[in-house]
Amino acid sequence: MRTVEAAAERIAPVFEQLAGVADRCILGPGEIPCARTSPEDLIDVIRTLRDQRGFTHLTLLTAEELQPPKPADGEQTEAAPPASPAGAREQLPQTGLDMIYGLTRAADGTTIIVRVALEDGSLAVPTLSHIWAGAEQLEREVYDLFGVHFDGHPNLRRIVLRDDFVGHPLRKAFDTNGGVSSEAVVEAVKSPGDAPFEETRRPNSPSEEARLAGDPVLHSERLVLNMGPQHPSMHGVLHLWLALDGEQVMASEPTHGYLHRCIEKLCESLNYKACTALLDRSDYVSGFHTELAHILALEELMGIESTPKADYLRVMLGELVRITSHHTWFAAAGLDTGALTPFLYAFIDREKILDFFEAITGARMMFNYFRPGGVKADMPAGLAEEMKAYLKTFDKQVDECESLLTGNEIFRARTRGVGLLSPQAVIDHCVTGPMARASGIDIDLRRDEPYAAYDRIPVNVATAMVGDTFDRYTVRVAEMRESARIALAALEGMPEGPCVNPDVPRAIKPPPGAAYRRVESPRGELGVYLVSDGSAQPWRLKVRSPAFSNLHSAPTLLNGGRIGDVVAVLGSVDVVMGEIDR
Amino acid sequence: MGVDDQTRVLIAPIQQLMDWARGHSMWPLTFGTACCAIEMMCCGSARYDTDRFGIFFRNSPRQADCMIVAGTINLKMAPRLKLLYEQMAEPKYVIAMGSCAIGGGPFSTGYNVVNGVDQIVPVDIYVPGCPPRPEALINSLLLLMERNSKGERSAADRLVLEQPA
Ligand code: SF4
Repeated sequence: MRTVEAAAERIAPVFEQLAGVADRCILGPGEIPCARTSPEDLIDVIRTLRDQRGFTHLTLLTAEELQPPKPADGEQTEAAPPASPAGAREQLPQTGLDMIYGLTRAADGTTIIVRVALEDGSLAVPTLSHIWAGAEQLEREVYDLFGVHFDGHPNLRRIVLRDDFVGHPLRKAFDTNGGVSSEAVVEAVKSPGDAPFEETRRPNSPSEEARLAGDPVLHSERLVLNMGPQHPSMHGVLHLWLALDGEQVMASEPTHGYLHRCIEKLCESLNYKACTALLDRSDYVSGFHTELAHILALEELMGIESTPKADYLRVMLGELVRITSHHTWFAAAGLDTGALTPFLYAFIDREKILDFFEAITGARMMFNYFRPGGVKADMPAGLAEEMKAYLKTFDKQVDECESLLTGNEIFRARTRGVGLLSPQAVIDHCVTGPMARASGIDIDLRRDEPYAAYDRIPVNVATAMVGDTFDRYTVRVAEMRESARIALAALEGMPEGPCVNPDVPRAIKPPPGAAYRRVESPRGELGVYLVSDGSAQPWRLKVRSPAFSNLHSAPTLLNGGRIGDVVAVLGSVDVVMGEIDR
Repeated sequence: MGVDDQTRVLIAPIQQLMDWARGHSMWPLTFGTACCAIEMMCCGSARYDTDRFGIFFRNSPRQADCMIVAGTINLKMAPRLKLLYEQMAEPKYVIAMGSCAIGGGPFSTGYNVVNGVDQIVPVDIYVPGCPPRPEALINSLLLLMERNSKGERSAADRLVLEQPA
């Protein structure tokens, strides 16, 4: 368990420094330190935190609609605004928005939330895109879904929804009308629904002018290429805009939203347990991790703990699903560089692990297995022995897979020194997970912020130094081996006992408050920010998607490179569109 | 079909020959958008190995006979689905894989999800499940090939034929 007092002590000097520009408050039962400030002071606060206090990692950027004040119970909830003087307005209570920023200090893992209250009517807040490049896209998402305007934002357009979409769906007042009508579909099919690539919109490389002497079109090999959203090696429905000059990529920008499935909005009308089912489908190659982040946040809100056995089961399944996720990536890494065999090999091993999942949870992919206070059911008798025997031979299978690529000369030539990501770019783009570790940034939430049973099972974190496509490959392969080791350790150390805490009430109605919990998914830091208003449905559920931030670092990897490397580099980012678009 | 005894030449109506051919190879377009696409990938992998049925996944709509819509389609993707369908050569078939493609699945009340691809393209076979197991998808492809060898029409053809003149 996290030591709340020690954390409070560490954070105290920060608040002393912020006195005058931000008020101290506490977020939810997890006691996350929270600084409340105004749009005018936001940049000041963020700069102080980042530049002087070492909070360099932007983990969360989202908005939350404020809950209407409940006159029935006199107690003010944490998230509710101070009673507004304009109480005279009738009908629907006029609610405002809060911007939520989450910052983490790498040195000790302290997280601080910065809340900025926005007034309805002028939903404006200064942009952070000049502080973190990665904030640009995160802000676009908030603009798209909430309608918040970011002053000074270089490129404030919709990001997940169609350009012609009307309204901002995560506002509570937005009416979904029970789904999309067939007339709307007929209308949508008529036009592509997103803006064409404007070549001039993005800054190009400095040598540009020199090359373009003469007629800009005739005397250049300028070409704008749209890759995707339906492309054999696009890893899902990703759309990449590429501005090419001959073979060279001059500018690029990922567009997505082709798989936006309203998960966050739908969760607001489902009970907490049902949310797990949808979250499974958001990161569909590693469902356990999204489930777990949600359940951890929920347990924090309710103040319950899971049983020791369930902790071990969660670790074991989390690691196995990491392996299957990396299998999928490995298969794609081979295909991206022109090798079909790795796909066949990796999927043989993947199927074996899926068999275990099926025996334990009843499903191959959509598990819906974690519950508040534990897990749904125990493992079938005898399966543990079978799994142990399998995991003991796992290294050999990785060897076999590796023998296809690691030493392969073509593969090495295509990946080494290609798609470099510098440590500074990792921080600027809020990149996490294997991608960050391959660039020499040693972060891993399993070790730095242990959840479930990770405080009892040591984790060796694999890192690399160069940060090229090949390093991302070696880090992930090392992670597969390590995951098998952890899963085996979890199986062997698994205590006896109940799989679910018997004290958990049948009706899940956490007290009002907010929680933010993170887990280390195969793609990095996956967080769930969960707000309860005391009812059986979450007031707000936000998934911090690691692949989202990782994907938007892609232009730094691709620009200046060659068109032929695009697919290989993009494969090494390991995107899952379901989790990016949600 | 029959073999002429003197010339040893196979004689058959051209339609029968084509039905026979279409009943033995079905090249689907990989139109995977979401979770179901992962199960579709499994179909092509070593354990399920659809190649043994003459089913090869193609990446280009121009080379494909049938489109497997594996995953959720939303309003932004819908025009692309239509475009790809139109790029396929006749006769073309559509398999709606998974609850999302059939009717929006768990997201059907969302503000952005198409409640069934049959609102956009004519569907030949619906494969229920969330996601359907690879066996179910293979079964649907076999069913489609069986129909073809019997000379049955695609849903798109039937739509045209049954239209009142
Ligand atoms: S049917 Fe289920 S598994 Fe398939 S795409 Fe929809 S949610 Fe995913």
